[in-house]
Amino acid sequence: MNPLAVENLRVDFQTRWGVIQAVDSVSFHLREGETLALVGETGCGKSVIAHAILRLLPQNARVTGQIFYENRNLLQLSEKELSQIRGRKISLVIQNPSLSLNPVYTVGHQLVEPLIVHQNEKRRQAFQTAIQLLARLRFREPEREVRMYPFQLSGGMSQRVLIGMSVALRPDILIADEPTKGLDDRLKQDILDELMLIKKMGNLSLFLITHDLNTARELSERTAVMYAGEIIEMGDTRGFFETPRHPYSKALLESLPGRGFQPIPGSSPSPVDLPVGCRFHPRCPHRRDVCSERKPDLVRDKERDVRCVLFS
Amino acid sequence: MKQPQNKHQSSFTVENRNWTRIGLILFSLVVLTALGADILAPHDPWQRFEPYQSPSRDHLLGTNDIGNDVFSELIHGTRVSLIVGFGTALLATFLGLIIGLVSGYYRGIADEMLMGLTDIFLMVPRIPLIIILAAFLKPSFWMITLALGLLWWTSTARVVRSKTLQIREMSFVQSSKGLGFRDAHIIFTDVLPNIIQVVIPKFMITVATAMISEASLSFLGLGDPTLKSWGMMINFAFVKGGFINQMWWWYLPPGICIAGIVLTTVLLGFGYEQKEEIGLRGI
Repeated sequence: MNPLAVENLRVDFQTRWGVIQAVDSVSFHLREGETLALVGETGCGKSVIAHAILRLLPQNARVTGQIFYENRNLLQLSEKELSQIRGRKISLVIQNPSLSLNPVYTVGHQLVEPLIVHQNEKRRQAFQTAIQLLARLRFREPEREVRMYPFQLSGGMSQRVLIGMSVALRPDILIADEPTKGLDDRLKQDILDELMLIKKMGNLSLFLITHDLNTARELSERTAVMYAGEIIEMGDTRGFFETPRHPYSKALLESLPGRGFQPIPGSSPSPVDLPVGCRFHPRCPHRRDVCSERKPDLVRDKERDVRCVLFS
Repeated sequence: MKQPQNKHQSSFTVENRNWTRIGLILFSLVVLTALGADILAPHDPWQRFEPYQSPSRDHLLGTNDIGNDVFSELIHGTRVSLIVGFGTALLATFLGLIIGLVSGYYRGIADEMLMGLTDIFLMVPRIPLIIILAAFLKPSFWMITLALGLLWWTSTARVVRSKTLQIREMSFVQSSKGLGFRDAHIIFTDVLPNIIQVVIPKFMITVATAMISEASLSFLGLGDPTLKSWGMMINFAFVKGGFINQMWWWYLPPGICIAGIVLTTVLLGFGYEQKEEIGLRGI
């Protein structure tokens, strides 16, 4: 059974400049123990999906569709029921590691908080758990590091602490929103190793959000590509990187330094004024007349979902 | 370019730390005086000696119209000032914190309504309102504390709200939400500790204003007549001819005491305010 299934998710933001359509008709599921990578440009709606799953979006967001977790629709749960799921069942590591820790408490204090609040552990016992957790996350001196304040940590360490906090309660699903953003290559590798380590420790499903294609390739079993609020291609990671089908996916891979370094002409559409029909058609080298008239559906073909007229 | 700027900054903080230290020393003296008033005062402030005496060895600051020892009255007056000041500030800060946190954290309707309420309370002329209250109710020291506390929370609420609005958008609050903590938990462990440095100076300033207000009300004759407060002393000196007869020992010391205690609390708050700015830069 799939622990998480998102069906027809649509998120609009009401703003004074009009309705921003951040996410549209997004459907996917996360299998038990797998890693699903969601890749796409900045601003294409990746983080919005992450926040929508845990209902952490601001008040002006209108979310429609269904998000099933253990046969319950998260969008219909009460705030109280949902807080039982947040952190315990589904955990979210948000962006900006150095700003995501409370500056006035030590790392240890923040690591034990979920244990004390959600599992009624005794403070001393929880501290031991926290130290063990840091040790498992390959911190060198966990006894010393639990007493540090966030400003004493580097970006990479903060990120690892955050990941530690998120998995302290052994959730079923970890949503990692750009876990390697703003880190240099070596630290990036550390974080990726960390995530793989965590996955091995428990039967955790990882929903990895990233704009870094190499991260997705290295860590995930399946990859979904987003463009302007829609999933345009989704399938097995290895197959996807070998033969991308959607013109955007192809262009995206060709823009990588190792694969030709070809920029995609044009720029992403504004979310207030999205193109009619296929959202990629103004930039697409294979466009036909039908592309600007009708939006293609996400069609399954040979183990791959593609949203393009070329494949339907 | 950078060198002189640093120099200026460091000398400024050192100077400032000294001010805080002076404030702390003076404040401890005030608290000790209030606590040990019964031991420190040479006489019972209600005991009657010969009236209108000028300062002498037996009565350091002379006696008043009914023969009470002014110096003993002065020492006992510290208590009233401190209790009114801190009582008011505690009540006002508590109200301001709750209102500010709730409206800043939840926003929406709650925010609109609470800030509307704050605007209404801000418009109410406070001292005249208390004068009217004092005129209708029996003027008592608890009534004054309560009335001042119920009227003085507005600016604290606004400061707390704006700071809360800032903190609630920070990643660690979002992250706590993602970990499934209750709102109350987030408010008290994530938001409150990060705004406490703005609340403390605000608290001290509320203490100072409450002390001045108590003195002003007492001077206007609306204070608690059964208590020895500095404002009451000046009031009696004024009414019973102390000013006209130039009995400086009667009206000058309480005035100096009021100014001194207010200065002390402001100094304390001032030190904290500077610290807070350093904290902001640090974050």
